[in-house]
Amino acid sequence: MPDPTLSIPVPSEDPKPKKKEEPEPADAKQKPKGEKEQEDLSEDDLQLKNELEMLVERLKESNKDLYRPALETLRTLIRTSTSSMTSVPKPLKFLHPHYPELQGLYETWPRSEDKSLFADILSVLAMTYSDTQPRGTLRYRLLAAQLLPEGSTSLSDPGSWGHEYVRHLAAELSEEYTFREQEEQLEMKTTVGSIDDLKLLATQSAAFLLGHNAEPDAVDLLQELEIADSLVDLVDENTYARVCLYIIRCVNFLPPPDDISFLETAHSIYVKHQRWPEAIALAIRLGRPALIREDFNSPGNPVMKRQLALILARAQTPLEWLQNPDEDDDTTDGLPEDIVECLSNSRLSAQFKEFGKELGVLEPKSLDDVYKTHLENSRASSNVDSARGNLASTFVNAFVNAGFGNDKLMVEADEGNSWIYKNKDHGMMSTAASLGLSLLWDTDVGLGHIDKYTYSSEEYIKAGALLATGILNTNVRTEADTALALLTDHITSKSASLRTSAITGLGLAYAGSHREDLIGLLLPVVSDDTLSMEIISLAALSLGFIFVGSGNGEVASVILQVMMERDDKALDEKWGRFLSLGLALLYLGQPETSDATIITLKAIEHPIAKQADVLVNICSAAGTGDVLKVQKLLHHCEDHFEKKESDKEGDEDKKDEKETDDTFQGFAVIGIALIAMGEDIGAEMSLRQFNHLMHYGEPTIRKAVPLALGLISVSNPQLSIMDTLSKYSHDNDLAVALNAIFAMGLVGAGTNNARLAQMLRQLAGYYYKEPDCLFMVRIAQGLVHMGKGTLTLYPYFLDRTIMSRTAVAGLLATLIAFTDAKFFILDKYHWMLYYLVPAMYPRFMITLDEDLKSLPVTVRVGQAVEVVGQAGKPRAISGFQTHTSPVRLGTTERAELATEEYISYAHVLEGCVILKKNPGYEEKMDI
Amino acid sequence: MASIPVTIKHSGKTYSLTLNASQPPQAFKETIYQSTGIPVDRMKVIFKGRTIMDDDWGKIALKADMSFVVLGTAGELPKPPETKTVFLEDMDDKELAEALAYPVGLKNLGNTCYMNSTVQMLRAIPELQTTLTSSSTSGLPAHLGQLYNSMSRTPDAYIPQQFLTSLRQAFPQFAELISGGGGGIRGPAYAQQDAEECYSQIVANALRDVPGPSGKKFVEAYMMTRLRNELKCDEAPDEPATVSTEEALKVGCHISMRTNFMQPGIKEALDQKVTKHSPTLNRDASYSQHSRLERLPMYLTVHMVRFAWKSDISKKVKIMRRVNFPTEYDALEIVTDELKAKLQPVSRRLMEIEKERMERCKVRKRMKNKASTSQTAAPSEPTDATEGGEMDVDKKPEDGGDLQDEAVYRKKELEELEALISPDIKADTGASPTGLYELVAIITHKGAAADAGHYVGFVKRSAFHPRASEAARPGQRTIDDEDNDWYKFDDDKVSIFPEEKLATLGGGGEDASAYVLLYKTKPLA
Repeated sequence: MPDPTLSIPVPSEDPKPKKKEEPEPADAKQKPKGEKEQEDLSEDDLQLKNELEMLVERLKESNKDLYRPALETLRTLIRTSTSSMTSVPKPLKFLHPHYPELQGLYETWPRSEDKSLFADILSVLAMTYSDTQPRGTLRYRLLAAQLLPEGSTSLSDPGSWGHEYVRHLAAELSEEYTFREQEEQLEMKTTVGSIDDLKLLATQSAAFLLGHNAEPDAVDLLQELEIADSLVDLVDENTYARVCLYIIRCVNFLPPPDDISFLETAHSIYVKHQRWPEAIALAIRLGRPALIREDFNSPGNPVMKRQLALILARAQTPLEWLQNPDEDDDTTDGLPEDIVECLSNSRLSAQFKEFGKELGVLEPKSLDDVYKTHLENSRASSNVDSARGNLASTFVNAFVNAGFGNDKLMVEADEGNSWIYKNKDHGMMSTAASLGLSLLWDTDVGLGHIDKYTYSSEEYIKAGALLATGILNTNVRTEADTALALLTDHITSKSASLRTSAITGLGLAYAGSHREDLIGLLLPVVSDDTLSMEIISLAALSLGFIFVGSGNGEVASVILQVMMERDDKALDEKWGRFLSLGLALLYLGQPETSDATIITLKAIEHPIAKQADVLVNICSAAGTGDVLKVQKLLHHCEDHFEKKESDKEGDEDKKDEKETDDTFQGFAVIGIALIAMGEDIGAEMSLRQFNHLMHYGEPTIRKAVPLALGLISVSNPQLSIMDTLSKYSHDNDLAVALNAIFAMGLVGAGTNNARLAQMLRQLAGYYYKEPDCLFMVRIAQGLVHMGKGTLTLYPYFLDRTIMSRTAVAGLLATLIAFTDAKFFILDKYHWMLYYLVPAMYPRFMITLDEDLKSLPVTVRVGQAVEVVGQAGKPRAISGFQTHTSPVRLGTTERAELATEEYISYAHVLEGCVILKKNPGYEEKMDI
Repeated sequence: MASIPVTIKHSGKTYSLTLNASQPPQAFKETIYQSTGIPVDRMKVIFKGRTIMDDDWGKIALKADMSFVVLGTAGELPKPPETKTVFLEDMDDKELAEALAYPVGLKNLGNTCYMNSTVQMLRAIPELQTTLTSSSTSGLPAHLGQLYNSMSRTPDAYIPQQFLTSLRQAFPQFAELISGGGGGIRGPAYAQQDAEECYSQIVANALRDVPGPSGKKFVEAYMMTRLRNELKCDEAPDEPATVSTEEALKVGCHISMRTNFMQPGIKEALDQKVTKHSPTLNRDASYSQHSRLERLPMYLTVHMVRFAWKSDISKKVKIMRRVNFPTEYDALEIVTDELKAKLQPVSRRLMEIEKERMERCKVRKRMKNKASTSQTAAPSEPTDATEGGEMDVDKKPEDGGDLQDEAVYRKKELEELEALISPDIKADTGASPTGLYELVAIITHKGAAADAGHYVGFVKRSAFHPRASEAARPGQRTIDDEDNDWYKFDDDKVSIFPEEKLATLGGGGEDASAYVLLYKTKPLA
């Protein structure tokens, strides 16, 4: 249970300071030089003042018949005088000194309709006394409502008192609400009106605010009173878009249960207004199969359905979710073929190649195009093959030419001259697997290329071919399920390398698919305690990939069981981290479901439970920007020192154990980035934390900091981060430098960033004698030029609002491997770099016509600008350039149509967008 | 009923086939083989996540219009290359040293840069190394041989301690100590020495007895030149000129106020005025000494006389003047007329031939470019076999015009030139057959003072590695034919020194200026 005082960072108290100032000068002026004041007044004012004073006098008199006309005149005078926004309305100013007097008078009146009206007027006057008598406005307003005889409707709408009054009321409402909540806890007496009254009033005020371009105020008010869901009925055609935008942007700053309900509210609003793309985007964000199914099946327009299918395909939504669970379990029968095609991303390969052609990057890039050794101020290249160097080249070639299927070293290599044989042993495996990356998504032709190598007598090549099969099928689905068919047999293979490859391949190919039939295949591997930790952990990780964010209980319980039952020695192995990660990925982006697992983990004594605990925590909070979680993780990071101190007296064994296993701290550091990356301000704040950790942290932490920096800015080369990483890349601790170099690759992944390329070339010269670092420099260079600048690793899509779970899973698995780079990446397990593949996606924007044929239109591409809560219709992009689609989009860029000839089905121009002709276009031309 | 129409997909193509449900899948696979050409044993037929076995349909319910995916390759499977790749990581130190880019440097053991640069310069004489290793020697030559041997076996900078000790033993002047020198507070240190002196001592004295080819001594054969001095009295024209010959190991280059180029400098050094007692006049008279070279060795050393004794300040000073030196040197101007007559035909012809070679090289390059652009469409062409462009040319005679393999030309030219060489010179092993030289090594001196500063050695890369076109064995480290870059040996720091920058070594400032130059006679082919 989070502390409520901590978790409400933005109370809607804005109007308060203003109020404080206003009555003060009026007070000060009037008392000492009241006479003088009177002389200064103009004739009109004087008349008004006298009239008001007369009316007040009349209320004091005993003639009750005159009360009502007097009150009504007062009301009219006050209401008509709210013309000026800047100064205090005249009647309020003149009535200010009489307020205490009137208050006393009010108490003496008997209950009547007049009293209600009186209370209403007092409520307005109370605005001038909000500093000394808090929440007076609200109190009298409630009294007015209470005093109203039943059935009477004469109580005016709060809006009739003007905008300022409503704002005031809104502020007091939220104050009162929190106050009462505390009161409730302290069992104190309630005052006027019930909570329901407050809520009713809030709804009224919100309706007024919504009608007057103050959407943020309305949303804030309703949120404070915890009735945000009532927004659904309040918003209309004109306001819903702005309201939803504001709601969605607020989500990052809300404590856990509220953020979900906010999203739900926005979703309902979109559904109500039939904005299906927006609605389905939120449904994906919420990760609710039922909502997605509903949204997907709602629209009747088949083209809209295609667009939704394209969005779902980008999110790697399991096809099964679209099927009604009661219906037949055969997956694709119920859907029309064209929708299935969209959903399974079948055209991705063709689209991507065409995109490459448009951009003129279809030609394969050679290694030297990437390394540009002639620019390195280094020594002449030797023409002897270095296994390490060639392995790096393997990866570079694969990353750079990914998806185009025409690289010179592997796919288009001459017969018998394949690059595979320029590699050694386990290097061959990665090289064979690189084929899968080069032919990425190409399920038609690509598999044939890979198939040749499955007959190889060399086991490593065979294993690599299996992995390649998995890699190729990442992010795409085929009807024939080729990956499953080809890999199933090898899950039980005797050879460890074939086995791990098949397991990993399945994990990659079916990442995010939630395919139940794979449980039967992989789960027995996890629970088989005769197998090595390596195989078990990788199987668990693959399951984590497949069931990412599903909270699948069956998988979780088996993994937990392994943690409980396997002997300590096995769990001590470095592979344990992937077992934990497999468990954690199940809860990726699912904060609600992980509690039981976390509690179970507390019961496990082995240090692996600690790692798993951290991992599960960070995964479930991934992208939420939850500051409390970040704080907790920071505590983890400093834990080490305290333990060391306090354990001095404790027995030696315990101390040793603590010292040997601080792996979880590394995870915690990565976790900070994982949580903060969802939201820009948090991400920027975390940079400071990282700086501190780098200064004061232990080696484990320092090693992880560059990785965290890489994660927080994946494919988004910001100058400050690049510079920091460049600094770390010269660290004395080579492990830190190594990770920093890799992180530079991550930060620039697929951007062709010239500055990074230059830095890396310089590093290549600097580290020419450190084969490990040089290897990593090469990899980073490959990443920077990934897909020749057409791919991205950025795990968010649809205008950076939705986190792709599979992408995060891929990034996380790679980073976890880098927490012990010496053991994994630099040793035999360099193929783990292919865990990045699920995160790889073209950063294109393709426009299609309603028949899904390419349709070039002019679009503007520019830096995205934050437009939430801004008045009017501000431009969403700045510094734009006009291109003809398809276009390439940077991580922080946005596109918009530059022509009014077409209207987009999708709400965000990203990925594949279907356009329809604007029916009103021709007529406009005529005018 | 048994026949069902189905479709199969194979590498992007769809085929419509009929499936006989009453027969095992084996038969269906045969059908597929007939339309796709994939052998059955290498065929994988997949339907909805299942691979179909040969003899049983398993759980698959056969329906009309089912779609199968077929994987498999009709052609050959990828084969491993015949020769296994040798990896850097598997090599031992010796192989590494050979395979890695650079010849190693030598550590400075305290003002020993003079020695380091000398040793590196002598490395440009490959004959010396083979001689040293093949013949049994002792003392300094033996140590030099060992040094070269060890240097070729290590990938890291070498510490020439043993050789230094041996050098100081043989020539005690190099063990001279100065107090407060480079040693600073640590007391006396070894003084800086003259690299030229070191070079001369080693060549003239230490290596004197090293045996060379055809019964001669090594130095005598490869490095010795013979000077024919003609002394003529200027004041007594009637006095007959005295002619004497002397042997020399180097040619000096006198640097005067007017010297801008090496060639005039050498001439000036060869034509001197001397004052001498004249027997005819019976008094001291001025004589003109006119020296010419009677023999040109394979390796010609030119000494820039940069250090001069200034009597007025009784100090050795450095002449900073810039003197440009050629990378190709025609020595015919400084030889005797008789020798000139012998050398000229070969020399002329070689020069012509070189021009032709250059022409051919250009044509080849052009064609290679053309070929490579036209060949991108057909990448199956082996790309690594086109080294040097020869293979390419052979394959495309229509583009290549009348050009033949370079080796054919070379052989012809060699025969032609051999025929021109005068028999006297042929008999004189180690003599230059043409008088045309190319620069292969330099010792430079840096700094303004004569007894301080720093010596750096420069050696042409081609002296270490054979040209690509003339590689003796495959896998050997070679350099491109057009690669005329140099190695710079700054003690243990070895780097590439581009050809274009050689001109900066001419002097004229405190930076490295050429001091001793080693020219090697140009090969005939």
